[in-house]
Amino acid sequence: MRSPLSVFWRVFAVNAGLLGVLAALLLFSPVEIDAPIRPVQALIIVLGLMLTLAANGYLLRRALDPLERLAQRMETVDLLRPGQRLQILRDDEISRVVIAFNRMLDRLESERRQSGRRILLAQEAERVGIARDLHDEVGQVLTGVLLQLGALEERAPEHRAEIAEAKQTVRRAFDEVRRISSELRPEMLEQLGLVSALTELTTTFARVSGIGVERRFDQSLPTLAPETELAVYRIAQESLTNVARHAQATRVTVALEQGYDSVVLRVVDDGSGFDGEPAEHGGLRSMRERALLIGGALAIKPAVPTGVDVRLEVPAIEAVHPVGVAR
Amino acid sequence: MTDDDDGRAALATAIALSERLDLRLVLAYVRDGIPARRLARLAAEHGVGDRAEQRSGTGDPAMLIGRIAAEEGADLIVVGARARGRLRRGLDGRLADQLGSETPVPVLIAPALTSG
Ligand SMILES: Nc1ncnc2c1ncn2[C@@H]1O[C@H](COP(=O)(O)OP(=O)(O)OP(=O)(O)O)[C@@H](O)[C@H]1O
Ligand SMILES: [Mg+2]
Repeated sequence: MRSPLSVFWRVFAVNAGLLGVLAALLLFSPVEIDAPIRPVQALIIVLGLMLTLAANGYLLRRALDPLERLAQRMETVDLLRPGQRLQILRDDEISRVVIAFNRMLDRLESERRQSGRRILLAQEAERVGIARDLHDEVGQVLTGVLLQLGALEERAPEHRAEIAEAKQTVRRAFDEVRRISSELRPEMLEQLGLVSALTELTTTFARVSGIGVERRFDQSLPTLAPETELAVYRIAQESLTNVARHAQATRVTVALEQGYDSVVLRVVDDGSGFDGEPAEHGGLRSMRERALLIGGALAIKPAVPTGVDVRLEVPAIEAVHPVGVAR
Repeated sequence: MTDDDDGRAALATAIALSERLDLRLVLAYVRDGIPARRLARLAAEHGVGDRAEQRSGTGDPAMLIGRIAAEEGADLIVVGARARGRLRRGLDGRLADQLGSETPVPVLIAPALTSG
């Protein structure tokens, strides 16, 4: 809080002061102006005018600078990267606008968080439903087909080879259904924890995509809240999907390390990477969303020397310090 | 890192700190329009080419650094003493001051190098 003057009075004072100085100079200095003006006198007047304008411009710019920053911030604000607030330097109309803007950001961010949480919860619930239907309904049907094939095998031994092949195909479909439903609903996660779930995820990923996976999981990791574990799992899953779809990688490293009161997930591929900032579609947006909701810090950046490096740091249960600026 | 001299001062300080405290080092190069290659070269010059993680971007330096610090879960930001934010903010443009309103992460100001 520098001066309690309002912007109006500050601008007024700047102009009044400058004009006053000019008037005083004209009144009390020995400068005289002859009727046909002499070059020196003209020069003094022009210089004085330029000086006044420069001072005026500078002072006005300082007075109005916060407005410019406010406008800039309003244009660039991103609710998925919360925590940015403008500093209040003075006590005037502009800072009242700044305060109101900061409050509006508070409100928007908390609403954003709530609606994000609702959407993710609904999404998870829907996935659980689909996984159950897949497993129960389609699984039942396939089991039925297997039984029928078995019966057929006994009745028509001359077709044994073809029937065995058909059974094999049905079993593959069964495995596929199981894989998709475990992708939709990571039961491993609830039953055996994050490390087992990620081990399974990466094993399946390596088998399906043909990309080599290197796992580096720290032996003992701090405890995470269930919703945090789910977020880490989903973000790893989404990162791996992106590696398979965009990276043209030959290897990907998936690491789970102990941080300071935190756990760090890293998914680093050696693929083609991206230039500058990637366009963020559904995948990256939902990764940010999940990170935001659990107070994690998520960085998606080029890896050295090539590829993409996804780093997610999430607070452990006993964490005292929040990670990053997430509040 | 922004200016060359300042960037080097900040880089040297950050490297020393990260070595002594065993901290992760993330280098950020946020001056308008300068390619990421330069960051890689600077990192290599200081012998941290494969240890330091590298981020670069274009836009308002203070805002970008604040954002990167948040994404990386940074514990500390190191900037050069005379590093500037937006030039057109003139005398108010000291990056370290601007960072105050951009991020809750503590900012360390590295003094200018006296030699080298
Ligand atoms: N590992 C990666 N390697 C190279 N480019 C990547 C990688 N991950 C993401 N990208 C780039 O970032 C873009 C955005 O990824 P994002 O996951 O948000 O969307 P998407 O994968 O294209 O679509 P979806 O919404 O189905 O996930 C991708 O289109 C791709 O260009
Ligand atoms: Mg994707």
